[in-house]
Amino acid sequence: MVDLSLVADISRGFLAPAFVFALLALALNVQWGHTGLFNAGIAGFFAMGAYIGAIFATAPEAPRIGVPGHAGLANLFPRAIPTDALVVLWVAAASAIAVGFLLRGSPRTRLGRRLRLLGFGLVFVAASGSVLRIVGVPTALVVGGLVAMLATGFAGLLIAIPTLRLRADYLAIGTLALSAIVTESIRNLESVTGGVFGITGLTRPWEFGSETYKTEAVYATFLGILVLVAFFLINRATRAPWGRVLRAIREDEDAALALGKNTYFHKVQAFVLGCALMGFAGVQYAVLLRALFPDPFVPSLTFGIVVMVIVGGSGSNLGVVVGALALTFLEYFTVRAKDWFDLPTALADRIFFLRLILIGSLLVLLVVMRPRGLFPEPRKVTKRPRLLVRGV
Amino acid sequence: MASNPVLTVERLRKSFGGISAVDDCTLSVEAESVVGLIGPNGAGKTTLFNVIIGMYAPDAGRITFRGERIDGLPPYELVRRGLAKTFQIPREFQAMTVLENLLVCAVDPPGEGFASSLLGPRSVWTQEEELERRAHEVLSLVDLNHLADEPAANLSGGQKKLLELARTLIMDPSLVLLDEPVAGVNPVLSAKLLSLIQKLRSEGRTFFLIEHDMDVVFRHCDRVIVMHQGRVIAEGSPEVVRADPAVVESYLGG
Repeated sequence: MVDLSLVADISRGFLAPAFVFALLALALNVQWGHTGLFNAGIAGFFAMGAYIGAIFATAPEAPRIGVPGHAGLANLFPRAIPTDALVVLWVAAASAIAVGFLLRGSPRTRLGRRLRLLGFGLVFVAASGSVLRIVGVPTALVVGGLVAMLATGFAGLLIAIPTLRLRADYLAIGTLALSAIVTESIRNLESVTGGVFGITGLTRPWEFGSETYKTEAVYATFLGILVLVAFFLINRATRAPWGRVLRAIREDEDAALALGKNTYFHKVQAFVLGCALMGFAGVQYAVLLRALFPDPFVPSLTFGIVVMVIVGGSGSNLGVVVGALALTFLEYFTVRAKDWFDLPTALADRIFFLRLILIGSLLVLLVVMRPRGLFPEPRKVTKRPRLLVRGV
Repeated sequence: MASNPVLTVERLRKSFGGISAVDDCTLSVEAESVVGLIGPNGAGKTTLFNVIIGMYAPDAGRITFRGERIDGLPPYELVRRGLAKTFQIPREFQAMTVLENLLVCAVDPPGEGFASSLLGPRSVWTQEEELERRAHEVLSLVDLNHLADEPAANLSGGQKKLLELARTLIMDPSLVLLDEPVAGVNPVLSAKLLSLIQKLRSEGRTFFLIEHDMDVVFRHCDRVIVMHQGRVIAEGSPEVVRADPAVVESYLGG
């Protein structure tokens, strides 16, 4: 018989946060691992996404004496994703593909190809929407996720436009500043974010009352699936000609420019994509925590993700996911060790501090022995995927 | 001036702070020829190449390539029009394989857009295969095919020079700017490289090269242009340039 409280604890304490961090690590890997753009403001983009998610997922709360209340948009949306919206998406996808095929061979071949590309993209969106509807993810959360991605992507664009024309250092400074602005705004915009009182009362899409283990395990599984989907998509784009340009930029940006690559455009694309994914991860984190406060969004969170990427293998999509899992496990294990094992009192009392030494030493050892990470990046960037879209 | 110019540079200026690297420079390069550019260190040769390829915007003057004005255009526009440049000190993408160093230089391969890489249509990968086949051909041409899957960082200095040339060839350019293509390359390899350049030239490409090895310049170039302090001080056939007193004084030495 499996100990059900252990299932709940592993899901809530290790797996679910590890999957959220894996999303962040994948995002940073697009920016830094593949393209060489250092983002020192992960915590800021993550926080932005988390708060947008929380505001969409909760009802507004009016201020009371001593409590500022917060904004909330959940009441604006029907609980289930409207079937009409999905039908519209499917019809749009089908018509784009159909028109795209009709234009094949005509003088407007280029437009036809674009339409077919758009159509296949819409099929993916419509299919995801349908799956989310069937499994019962509330509309507010889906809209919140999309808005969070758009908003963090746009914030990334705003910081990228001026700084990506300059030397690499300015991007790091700019993102660090943006992160500070975001976290300070969250603390101080009390009527929207609840300030230090935070936003509470978020619910998961799947709640099973007193069967905590079920609630936790189901949500961890959902996050695991999100990591798989994000991994699949990012791996596809980065192990293709697009990713090859990113690696060339990372290796020698001036050379890539002189050899005919539009380096600026590719850098902006990679950076904005990474920021949007960080915002998406934030939404999942808010739902995981159920209550959101400004505390976790500090610079050390940013550097935790950087360490996961280095340990796993910067530039390797598989590596950074493993890095996120490994480091979150180490953290979790050293916290729980004294409950699971019969440690001598002297050790048990101090393990909370000793674990930092242990984690630090392991990191040093790893970086010395495997400087390119647990799963180093593949030597050849491009790899023909097994699953190809025909007719485009 | 050349009779059938593929490239013309007129009254070009480029200065950095107080130093004027290229100063009122006028020259032209004839189609399907090998033109040498010589001059003392600091004469502005590499800067001139960088302005032509679009890495720096000129302060004044105009550049025409195949009849179109190109000054001020970004390098990726020029590459589309058939212009390519190598680096004086090889700048290979170290953590990429030799093969991928070439693949990434192909002009606008269909999968380079984010959307088409993400979706991964079949056509992209069919064209990738074709591109890889062409890249192997180019690599065989410079004798690097056996190293196709090695990281470029592992190549020797001379092999990196060959890779520089190969990277431009995959772009299928009509004019290649070569910045010291044989400096630091052993004599056997250098002879091979030069005969390759002659062969490609006979296929209709034009080469404009900076070189300090006078044997190479006088034996392989149809025309030689001499720069000094940012200006052209002499040009003509190797014999004419060699006899020019100004060139002897500023560069060749008595």
